[in-house]
Amino acid sequence: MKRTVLFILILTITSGMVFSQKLLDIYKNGPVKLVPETSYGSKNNWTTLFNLYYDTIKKDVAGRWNDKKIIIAPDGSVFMNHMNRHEIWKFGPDGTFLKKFGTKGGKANQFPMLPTVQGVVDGKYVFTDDVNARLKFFDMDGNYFKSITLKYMTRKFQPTTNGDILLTGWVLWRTQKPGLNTPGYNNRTIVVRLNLYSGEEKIIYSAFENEMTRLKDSIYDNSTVGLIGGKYLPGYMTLKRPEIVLLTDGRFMILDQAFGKVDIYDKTGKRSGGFQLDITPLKITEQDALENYESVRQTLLKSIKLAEAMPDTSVKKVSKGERGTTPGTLISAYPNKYEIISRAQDALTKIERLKDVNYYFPHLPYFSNIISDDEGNLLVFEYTNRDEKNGNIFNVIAYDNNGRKLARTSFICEDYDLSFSESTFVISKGYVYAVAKLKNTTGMPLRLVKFKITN
Amino acid sequence: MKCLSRIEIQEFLDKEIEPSLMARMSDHIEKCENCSMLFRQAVADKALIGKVIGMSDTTEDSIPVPEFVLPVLNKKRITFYKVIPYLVAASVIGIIFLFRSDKTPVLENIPEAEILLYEFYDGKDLNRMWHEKSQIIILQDEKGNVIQSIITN
Repeated sequence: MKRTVLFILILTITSGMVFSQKLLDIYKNGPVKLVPETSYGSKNNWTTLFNLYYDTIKKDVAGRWNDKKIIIAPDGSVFMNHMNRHEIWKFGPDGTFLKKFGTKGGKANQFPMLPTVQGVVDGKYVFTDDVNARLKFFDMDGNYFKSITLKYMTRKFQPTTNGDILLTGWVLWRTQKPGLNTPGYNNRTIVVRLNLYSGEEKIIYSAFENEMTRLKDSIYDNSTVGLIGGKYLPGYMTLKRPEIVLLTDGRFMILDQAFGKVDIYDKTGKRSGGFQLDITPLKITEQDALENYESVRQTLLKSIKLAEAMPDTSVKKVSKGERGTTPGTLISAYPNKYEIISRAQDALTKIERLKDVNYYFPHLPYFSNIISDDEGNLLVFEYTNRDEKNGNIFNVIAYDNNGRKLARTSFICEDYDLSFSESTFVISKGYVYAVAKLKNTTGMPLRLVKFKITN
Repeated sequence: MKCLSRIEIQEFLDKEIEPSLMARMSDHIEKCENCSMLFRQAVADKALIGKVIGMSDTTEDSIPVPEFVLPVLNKKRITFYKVIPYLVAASVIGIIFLFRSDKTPVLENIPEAEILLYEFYDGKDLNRMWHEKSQIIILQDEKGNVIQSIITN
């Protein structure tokens, strides 16, 4: 009996090591092919499951990127938030849709705001988060366990061990310089270790990002218009907020997008090292500047066209107390179509500077996205040249936690249109789980797909 | 370089700008009539304040500040009459800021636009957006309220 146990133990450990090496080898031998497992989720009727897909995609106002975020449980089950229904869906290890739980509402086991799945704690509890930082924990069958509400906005979560969750939070701090009557807003970013069972929170890192939110990069004029979209092309770096990567071992990294600097912090929040990303960022060209100008111009024209189609806002209505107005008084409709038109027309007169390449930051950020695999490697996605028309070939740089460069490669996927963001592209146990669109299909394209990683 | 706001001019004057930007801003102020006027105005204000509180009347702090040499044990007691000049100076500064004739309303940027911007880009495949030339344009009203946000492509 002991021999059998020992044999199984050795087999488990060695297979893990072989597997671990294999993933690294695949990165090194790249390009990395993503081959879909055809049997995965084959019992699902995707058209029925995702029947509201077209209602939620490409919204004009801040499209919900995490509408169908996924996380992978240790047993290979997948939890997906189906935001527009206030539901969490569970798929089995074979990709079959099993059940859904949660509804819109104010009860403990309901979601008052749109929920996002964030992780699995100790292999036992899946949890969600919402815009008001309400964390709701459920067991793996969807039974409500407990709630924890935090006092700050949250961004990322990484369960570690013994009920601990590493998370990043942020708040805007209003600042007022002496002698100035215009306030600024600084962003205070914190890294917190939260324990599910005790509810204890400990801030292990805190930093102010000075003037992060002052619209220095906008085409802004106090008297006329506020228009965001300038300077950094096409606005990806406007916030200059550093990217924080939370690691499963309780450490975290802070990456500077503008200069490629990476700092590593230990479990206590103390800086333990750092490195420079070995990436040459894409330079902004005159052609990029001209295209950005035209893009902004066309968008403003579209804005005017949309506003013109709005109802006439000169007709006043009786207030119900909305937008801080006094109930019962006559107020104008909102938004004011004439104001939008006026602002957009005004903005059109101020965008000439966008044609000048010298107006922009000289290069794009060092990376577009970062995804960590379950071996602790960072896949740092570069921005790629627009001439590379094949949308599924992306450069990847893999690092281990200590910043050692392992490989530079690319992903290739022939059948699906992938989106490389950590919410819809998750690497777990040698596979990629993705919410992706099937190419060349006439019906519902959206799928939950499991890919084998190979060369 | 785009034209500078009054606040940015003041920051430039106070050397609160990143060193890498100082040269560009200086060059711009020299060439731009509007910004040059704002700069002169800011210099005049600073000189006036400096004069009132008995400091240097130039923009450069050319007078070296001596180190504190009095032994702590011999420190003299601060009496009320010694504080009066400072109180008067502070009052004058306050009045200047309160009744400046050229004071223009400076509108506050509420963070709604910034949050919207962040929400738009956060978690997305930015390389894909770069290829699709997708970005968000936000229009604000005079109070800084977002009145429209629209996405290119």
